[in-house]
Amino acid sequence: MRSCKQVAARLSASLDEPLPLGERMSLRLHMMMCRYCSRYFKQIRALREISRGYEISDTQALDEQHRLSPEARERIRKALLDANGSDDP
Amino acid sequence: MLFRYAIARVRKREVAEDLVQETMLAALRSAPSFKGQSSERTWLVGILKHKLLDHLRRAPREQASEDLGERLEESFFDDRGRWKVHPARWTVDPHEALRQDDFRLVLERCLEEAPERLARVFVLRELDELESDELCKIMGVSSTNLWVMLHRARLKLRRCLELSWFGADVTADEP
Repeated sequence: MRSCKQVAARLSASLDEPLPLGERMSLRLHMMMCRYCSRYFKQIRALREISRGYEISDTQALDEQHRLSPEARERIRKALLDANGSDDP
Repeated sequence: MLFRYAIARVRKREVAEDLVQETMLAALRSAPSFKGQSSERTWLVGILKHKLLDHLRRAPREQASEDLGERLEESFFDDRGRWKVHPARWTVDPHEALRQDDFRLVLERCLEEAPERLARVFVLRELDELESDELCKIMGVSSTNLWVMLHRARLKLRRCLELSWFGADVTADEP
């Protein structure tokens, strides 16, 4: 009989690799008897669903830490100007 | 927008800034070949994604003996492998939550709080949808290690979201 700790690890792995039928059955059996593992599985699948297609850059409420600093902005602008200049014939 | 994309994946400001700069330079060079099949934004993110994966491939590999978050996993289970921190029933629909900016901030904060390598494999796997074998190459780990890291990242994030957002009453259903 596998512990919840082992089952939880395999439930997570099942999202990343195909598991053999026998193992899938035994995980399902465990989940029928264990609401915590069953919840864990449901919730990590939900975690996957909400992560797919999630764009970090979409969030509106930005704080300072997540913005390019004015200095970096200026540096990049310069680099772009330089690059542009040197491309001219 | 590019900066946020990068910082979520590399964490170091200087590295993220460099990546944005490299991306802009590359974009400038290849601008003539940009035919507008996609939006400018998608195009730029595409370039950045390449730069980022290149950077991660070049990054020095941590020792195999490093702590891959074992203690983190241990903290969730007792010594007989039973749940010590019981997953609670979530009272909010995750899909509903995603529409709210507050929730997005919580999710991002949880990612920031997670150990760096764990957060990185999670983002690359679940947000960027990289396949396991590709991810193994980028991170320089075996597939077994990758599954372990992803599991620990999920444990941690699930718990963090539960505490900060889905806040359910765990004690109500203690056995």
